[in-house]
Amino acid sequence: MINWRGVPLLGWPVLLAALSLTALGVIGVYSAEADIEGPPVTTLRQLMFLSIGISGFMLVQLVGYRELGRWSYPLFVVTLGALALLLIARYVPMAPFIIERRNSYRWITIGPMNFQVSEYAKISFILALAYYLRYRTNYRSIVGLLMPFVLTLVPMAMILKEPDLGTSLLLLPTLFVMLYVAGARNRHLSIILLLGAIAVPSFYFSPLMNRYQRERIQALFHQDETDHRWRMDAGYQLAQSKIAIGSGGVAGQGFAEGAFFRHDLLPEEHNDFIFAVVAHQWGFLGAMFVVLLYLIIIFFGLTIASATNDPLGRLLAVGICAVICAQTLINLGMTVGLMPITGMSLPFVSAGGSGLISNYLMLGLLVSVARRRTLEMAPKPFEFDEA
Amino acid sequence: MFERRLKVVLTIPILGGLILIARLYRLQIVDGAQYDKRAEQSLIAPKRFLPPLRGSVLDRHGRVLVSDEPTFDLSAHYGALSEDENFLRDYAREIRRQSRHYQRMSRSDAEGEALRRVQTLYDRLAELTEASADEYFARRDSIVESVEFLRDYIWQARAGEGIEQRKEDMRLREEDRFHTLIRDLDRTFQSRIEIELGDLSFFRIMPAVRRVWQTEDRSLAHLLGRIGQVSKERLEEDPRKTDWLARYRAGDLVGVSGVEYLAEDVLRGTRGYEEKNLDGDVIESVASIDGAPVRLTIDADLQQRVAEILQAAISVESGRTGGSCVILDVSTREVLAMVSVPGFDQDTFRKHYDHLRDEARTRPLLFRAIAEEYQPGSIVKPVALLAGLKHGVVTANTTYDCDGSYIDHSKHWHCWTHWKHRPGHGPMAATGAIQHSCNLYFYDLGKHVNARRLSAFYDDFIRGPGHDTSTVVRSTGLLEERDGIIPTFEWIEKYRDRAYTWADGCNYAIGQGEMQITPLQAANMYATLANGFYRDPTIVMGDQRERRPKPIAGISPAQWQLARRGLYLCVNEPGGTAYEKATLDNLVICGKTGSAQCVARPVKTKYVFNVEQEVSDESALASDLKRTETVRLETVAPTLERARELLDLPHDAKPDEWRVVERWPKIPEGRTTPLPHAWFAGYAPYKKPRVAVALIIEHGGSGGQVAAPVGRQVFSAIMESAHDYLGVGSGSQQVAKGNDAADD
Repeated sequence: MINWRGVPLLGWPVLLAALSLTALGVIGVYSAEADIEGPPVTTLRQLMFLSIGISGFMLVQLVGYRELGRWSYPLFVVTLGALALLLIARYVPMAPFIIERRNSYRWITIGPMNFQVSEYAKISFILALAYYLRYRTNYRSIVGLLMPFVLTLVPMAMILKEPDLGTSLLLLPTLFVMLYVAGARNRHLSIILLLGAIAVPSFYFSPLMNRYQRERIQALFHQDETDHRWRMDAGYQLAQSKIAIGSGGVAGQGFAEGAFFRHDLLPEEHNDFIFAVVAHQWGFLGAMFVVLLYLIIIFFGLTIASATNDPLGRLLAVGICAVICAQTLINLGMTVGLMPITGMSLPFVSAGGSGLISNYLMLGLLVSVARRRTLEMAPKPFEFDEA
Repeated sequence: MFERRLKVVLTIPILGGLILIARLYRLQIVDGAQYDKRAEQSLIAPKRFLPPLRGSVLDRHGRVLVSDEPTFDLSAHYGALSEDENFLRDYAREIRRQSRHYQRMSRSDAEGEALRRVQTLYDRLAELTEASADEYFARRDSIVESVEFLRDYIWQARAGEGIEQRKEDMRLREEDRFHTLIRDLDRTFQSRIEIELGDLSFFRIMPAVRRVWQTEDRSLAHLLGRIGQVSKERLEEDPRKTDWLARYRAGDLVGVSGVEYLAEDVLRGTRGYEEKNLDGDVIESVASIDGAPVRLTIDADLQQRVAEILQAAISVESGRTGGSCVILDVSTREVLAMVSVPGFDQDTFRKHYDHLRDEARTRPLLFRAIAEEYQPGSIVKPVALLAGLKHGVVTANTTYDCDGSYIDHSKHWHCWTHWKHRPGHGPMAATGAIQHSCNLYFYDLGKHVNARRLSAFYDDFIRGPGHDTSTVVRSTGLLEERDGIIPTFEWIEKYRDRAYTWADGCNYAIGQGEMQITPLQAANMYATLANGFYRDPTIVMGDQRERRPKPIAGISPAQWQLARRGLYLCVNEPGGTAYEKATLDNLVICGKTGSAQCVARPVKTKYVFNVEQEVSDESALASDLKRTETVRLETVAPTLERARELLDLPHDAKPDEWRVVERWPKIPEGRTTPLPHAWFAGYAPYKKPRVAVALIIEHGGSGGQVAAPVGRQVFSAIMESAHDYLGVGSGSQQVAKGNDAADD
């Protein structure tokens, strides 16, 4: 079915690193469940999602990223449509397909399946952007940058409105990195960076940011465990996360020491704060290993981009690396108390269906790029004069 | 260019990775031990206090009157009571985790199951207990309401400080707590509920304690007193404030009246605590120390018997609004009985409080024995005689010829025989004047001793020589105790802007005028007459206070004997006002009757309040102008508290006018005042006094006709008691009588 012999070596380290990360996540989930009577429900579910994710990975290999690239605009439109439905659901009830959960509209339910649209939107965004940028040179003028920004800001605004601040925050750095490697002028990008540098603080003080988001940022700068009010209120999650990580020590508390998690002392331990579980169990060595695995994925991902000379493949590989890298840095950053807490899962590790599946789909695209033989005769794309 | 830019891009994850590793190094290796300690600490559940049992109150023979009994409260988590969304989600998760049956359930089905369990709790409880589901709903609603009220309050306070926050986002500590649904769960229900509903984690059966009154005797209600929530002042004044386990904490129950208040320091215990880890293993525990029991000097059986006698006596006529009787041991001044009728039922006190408070005719909440002051009337005459003897105004043989009127044709100045249309007593000497209760003898005595010297003597005699004049003399220490009115020179100066007149001396000598004493003071006065020493009475066995007997200065044994002889004659010789009424065959009682003039008390009063109310103007022009307008509110009520309730006014509102609409008791035909209070006070046996008694029947009429027979019943009850309070032995009563008689 799949010509395994055709898979160039570059895809393997990426896949193995991702599988190792997922394994650590599943073990973390299982440890909190091991003591409970009955089968470990969450663990089994996670394994099920993993198998769906691997199937998706295979499917992408079968279809190939070039074929998918051709469908990128329709897919993007479908994604925007789904996001629009979530926005409408706020005003027009669409139960049982879309229901409100924790004051937000993020999921579309079809039968037994829940789709977290923003997770899939990331892929279709990267596809569409890569497809748009692949042969163009006009983004080297400032006007030409307009369209990529529209492609980014429209889904971003819709995801922000769900609200899902975390995912929406991923799109801008991804766009920026893709534009950068595609050859946008430094001058233009610097202007954009500058605008961003101005926009962020003004966003902080604007009414667009709500009180709890502001509190989370304040909580980051006020990490004082002796302040009881901080400890029990805005800083609770962070403080508990730091305790979980710190108590891991050098070698970790081991797999069986699940008491800390069994008693729900760390909220969202399987999702956004799964890294705290891993660091608690495997200690500093384990945590370093996790960081190393992500570096492997990103390093080999960028190597894949470098090895191919297909412009779509290059941009796809860079975009996927950018999104995984951004997500990982934000998630780990918030878990260890270097970034404000935003709802953001850790790629390949966090429990949750849509996230895991979409991560493996992206991995599939990356490996698909790696598997495509390069045409040595073709000119390398995106080689512009610096001037 | 692409390759180069890729390399630039690659620096970002490498840099980020380095920063993360540095941070992890700091958290896990540098501060690792510290976080490890914290992780251990967070696995420990908060300390739970173990409440001590409050000490019991016993009677003098060890019978338990009040005790703390362990019981159980049923309480439920606030999330379950308010059906909070987050709580239901967590609970659904718990349901799925706990049981094999539910783990295949979808999340929304499990949430539905959680809601179903929470909602059916009340019906299931109603099935298992006596209360109806509606009562549980009402209790739930009141809990939710009070928490929401608190939320509103805090939210507004925070908004006032400029903190903007959505009301729904505010998390109160109360929302994570268990709230009591049923207090004092019946034991049979408890096991049933545990079996039936034990799988529901959102409610708990928690150990608690309950104060149980072990006696049916309603006359003890005042004395035993009540417990209530500790006040802010008590928290601050707590003598054990520095002991973190022993000190009062908000919500603690402390004695607020009667013996519960008096003996608080003995009765209160010290709480213990228990520390468990989250798996439920006890890590550390300190047992609570229960409060010590308090033994009263009261004989519960005698108390109950006397209460029955008094209750029967006041039931004769509806005008007899109440009564009181105090029995003292003469030498130790231990209170053997302290009865106030009518009493009330402690168990239903809370429920009937409004009714008890508004019962203005009989005032059942009034602790008459120590908290109500009455004119002593004639029972004070032996003390007046001692004053006359001390100051040399009279001697044993000084006589006064009683012709029935001290001032002819006057309105008041007559002997009591005058009102009965009888001739006067004729020539009266000291003992005879007491025996016959001759007013004219004492008018003359009082006039010559004079008011100032007389009241000073009374003050020493009744409140104790050299007592502290700056505060109320609380001889028993009970919070409710009052020390009467003795119109000393200082008192007259302070409260009456006038000088003494000769008439004051006359009035004070027969126990009238401003003078008022409590039944306890009356009993103590007779105990002092019996043995010649003043001593503070006590109601607690082994009272540690300084209570030395203090001699009444300047009175010779012969002079004491004159007064005692008068009291003997009064009961035991024909012509005595209590002769045959209070005379017992087998006990020589000395005593004196009294009829104290009094006025009828208001039982309905019209109260008028002028209240400032805000009125918003209806006219469009002045719509934002608010006017205040004085509104006149009026109502007729038995008590001011009731009037405030009826008019919905704050509890400190003061009426601007009031007018008594109705008084009680009714004034009998041919009289201008209601029937006087009937007193009898005395001691027995004559020669070796052991027990002193004072009793009063409110509006009973003549002391001789009404109170003296009750006095005889009370002495009989003391004789019939299983304990030999009179020191005559059960078989030697006749001998006692014989001994006393032979002496005369």
